[in-house]
Amino acid sequence: MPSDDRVELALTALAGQRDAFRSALGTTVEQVQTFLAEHRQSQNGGVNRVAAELGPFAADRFDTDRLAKLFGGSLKLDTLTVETIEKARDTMNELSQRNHDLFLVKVNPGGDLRTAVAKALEEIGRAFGAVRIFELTRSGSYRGNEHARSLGSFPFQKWSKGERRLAPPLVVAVDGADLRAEMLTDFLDGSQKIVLVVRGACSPAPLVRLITPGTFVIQTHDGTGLDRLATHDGPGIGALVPESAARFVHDPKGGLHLAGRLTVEHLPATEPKMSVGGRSGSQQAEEIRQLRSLADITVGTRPAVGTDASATPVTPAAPADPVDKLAAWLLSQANLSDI
Amino acid sequence: MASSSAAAPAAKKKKAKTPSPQNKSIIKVAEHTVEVVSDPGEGAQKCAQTFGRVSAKMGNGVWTVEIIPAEIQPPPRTPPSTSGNRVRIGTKPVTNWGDAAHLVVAFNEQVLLHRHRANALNDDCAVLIESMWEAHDDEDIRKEWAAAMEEMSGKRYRFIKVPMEEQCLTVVDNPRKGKNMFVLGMLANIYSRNLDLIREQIEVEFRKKSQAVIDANLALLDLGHAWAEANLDFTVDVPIEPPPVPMVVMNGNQAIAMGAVASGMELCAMYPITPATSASHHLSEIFENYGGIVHQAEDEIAAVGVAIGSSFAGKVAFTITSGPGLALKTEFIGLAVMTETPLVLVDVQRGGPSTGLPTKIEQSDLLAAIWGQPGDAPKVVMAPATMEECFLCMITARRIAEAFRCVVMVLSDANLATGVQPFPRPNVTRDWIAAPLDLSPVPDGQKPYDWDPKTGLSARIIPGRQNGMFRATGLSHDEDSKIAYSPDVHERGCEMRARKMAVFQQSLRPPKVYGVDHGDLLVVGWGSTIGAIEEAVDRAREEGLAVSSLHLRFLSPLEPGLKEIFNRFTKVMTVEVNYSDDPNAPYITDENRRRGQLAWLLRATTLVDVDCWTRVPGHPLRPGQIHEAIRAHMPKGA
Repeated sequence: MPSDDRVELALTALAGQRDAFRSALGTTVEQVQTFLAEHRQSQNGGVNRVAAELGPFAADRFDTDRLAKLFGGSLKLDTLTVETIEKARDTMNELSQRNHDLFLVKVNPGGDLRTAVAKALEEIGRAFGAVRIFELTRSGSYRGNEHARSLGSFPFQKWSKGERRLAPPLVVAVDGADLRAEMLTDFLDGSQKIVLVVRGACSPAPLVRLITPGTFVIQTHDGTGLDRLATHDGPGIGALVPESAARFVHDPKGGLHLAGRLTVEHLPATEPKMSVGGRSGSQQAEEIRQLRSLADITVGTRPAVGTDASATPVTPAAPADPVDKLAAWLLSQANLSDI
Repeated sequence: MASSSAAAPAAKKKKAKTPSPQNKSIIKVAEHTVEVVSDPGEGAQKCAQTFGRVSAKMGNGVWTVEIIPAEIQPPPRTPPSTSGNRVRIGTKPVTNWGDAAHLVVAFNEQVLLHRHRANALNDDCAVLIESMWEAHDDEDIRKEWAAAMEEMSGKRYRFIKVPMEEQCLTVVDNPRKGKNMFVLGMLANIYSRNLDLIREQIEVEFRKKSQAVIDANLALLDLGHAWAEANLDFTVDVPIEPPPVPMVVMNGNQAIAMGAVASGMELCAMYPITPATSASHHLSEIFENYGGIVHQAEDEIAAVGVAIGSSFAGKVAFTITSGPGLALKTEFIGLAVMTETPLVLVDVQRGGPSTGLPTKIEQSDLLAAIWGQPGDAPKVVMAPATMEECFLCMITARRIAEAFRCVVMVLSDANLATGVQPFPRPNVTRDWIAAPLDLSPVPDGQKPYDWDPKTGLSARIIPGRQNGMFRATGLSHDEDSKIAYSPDVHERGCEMRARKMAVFQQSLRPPKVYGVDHGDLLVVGWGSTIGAIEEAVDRAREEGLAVSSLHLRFLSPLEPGLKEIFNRFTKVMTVEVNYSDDPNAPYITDENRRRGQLAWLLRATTLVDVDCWTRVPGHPLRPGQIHEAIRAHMPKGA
């Protein structure tokens, strides 16, 4: 499949989360507009804000004029404050109107994958920075010197837990030679999804080092399973790899045990000998061996590895751990049919 | 409201014949009250709650009240083991549980006897009762049945014997686990409830069970419906007026949980305690979706400590408990007051003192909430009056706690906690959520307690801000948080913490009087009694009595203008669900009489001679009771 088609495939698979981000941004822009409009209509914008923040329970029970005066110093919307909110709104507007380019990174050959991803997220993060500035300004906590930079860039490291859950997915086109997926671990948090569209040859199992219990990890050659990545409630990373590479899915929904989470559909028959982008054959083989060893653990409970002609057969391993044996026996004795 | 025309089927005996839709009598009423009662574990509560929720979803006004035994597993087939629910449904919104039930479904005669002895049933109540006990193999049971019937013979109840067990055995092996769904089917037929809605509700209720369990329950539902269709000669029509706005249906604890989410809370630190626990159960199912966590601490003290620590660190935290838990949290609440750490504490009140009445309603924590801490510990105490207010008050409480750097106690109660009522779907807005933390450097010269001498207010410093390091202490301290070594410093700290409350009180508006703003008697209440009080006031006014009522939401500081309002009435009386001495009881004098807790507060604050009428029956007050109290307390000559 040509590279551009695969990029389109990845973008389409992740459309839902991207739309949710855009929708949230659009809603916030509307709120900012409403806030500014209310402020313009009323000489006393702080009163409306205090009333809104206290909610309907406080309606008719509070003298919001008095409360607004109490917090008058921080509530005052002077020209500079209004301008700041307008800048934040413009930033949000600009980002919400951007096309796929906001969510698509093309790493130049020889480029640094981590730097490219960080930069793209920093750009997306401007939206969160703008929202924060709006909130801080409304609450009277905004201080230009410290906060204004958020409009220019807002790196992932500064994103809050909530922001990381709202994070839009990123599609990254990268040469197989530049693929250092392990450098992306810092960004796998909240609901952040990253899909790598790999150009040219690559290490056969580049994502295996990213398998952790809560992270959705998938290697696919035709996009199968990306829909599951898109709907996973947590961080995830996928790679559209050449057909010769390993194919597997690690889905945290499978439960506490790796056997339930990992499905290996295909393992290359032979270990690589040639280096790719400075990663030696031996280093690549380590990744395959790691994947095979993880698959071995799962084989005890179900057939986890594909058996097509090119695949290396994996010897089923009996549960070796006495604790696992005991657990298996207990489960076999318990009647869980009613649960 | 309820009248004789709204009664259950007349007690006339009819010829035995198989009813059909054509020859069934239709009782059309504006409202109707039904109770479902059983031994614990037989599912009467689930049955009635589902019936209530479905009725609300269909557009009826609804109010439900749980009937819960005092013990977890009392001896079965005894009056004290009665467990169930009352559901009052109406064409218009329903605000309380009413006076007496028009229809009761009883799983045995002993639980029915409990309701009879509690005067919970209308004289001509229709009684659908499990028939198996009358001719039971056990002679003792047959005797108990006969004695119960004899005791109830003075009433005109219309008994309809229902072979619940026999019917349920055609579907399940253990009818004890199935009668409730059979009864739900009967009620669905009697009140023409939407069966699809009920099926959906059953699937939600049993979502953690297997499909086989769900299927069995659905089969029992259909069986009960068919049995009622074939064997009962009446139906009840409570017309539905679809509400003009979308509604949600939930109990007060669920509303508090949802309100916590809507207000941007990030942490609920709690320790399980009846009747507060279900709020955290509900929250634990949804909180993580919104970035929050429920922390079950090792005890009540740890729970409030975690909440205070989290809030101090910049998180939006609250804790939820009930009376005994509130007692344990006392010292830490004082710490939050002293360190001016924002804290929302929800107290779902139950009967006390000590472990008291864990499952029963009472409003006895008011004074403990206001004055419970040693030393002067001013705080805001507020009380929602409805399920909707349980939701909305959390938003207000969170904002007040942060704006005034204070403790806000929300006093709910067991009636609100477990009762279900529909209310308009809230329009959730981002305005309700706390602004993001300001972690910018603290401006030069700003102190951790930079009290405005006029208002006592000061800006909060979150740990981690540059220039913001200070030593937080529960010891009396000055603006720099340095320990007080002089009497002036302590005096000033007390003054500033108290001043904030005065400022807060001045930002409140005087409460609105329900009814005419002057007259002979003003009834003052707080919390969940609002519906019963206002219904009683309406009845009294229909009789020509010059009675009005006032319902307070802010108890500390009290809402302004009370003295002026009180002065427009000849007499003022509180109605509360807490203990007060009967003034005519032996040894009781005007000087030593214990009064209702709000009455104490109002007397002390306004110097008006506020009377009180209070009861601690373990269940909500009935409008009829309050109506009688109003009549009895009308000033002489009125």
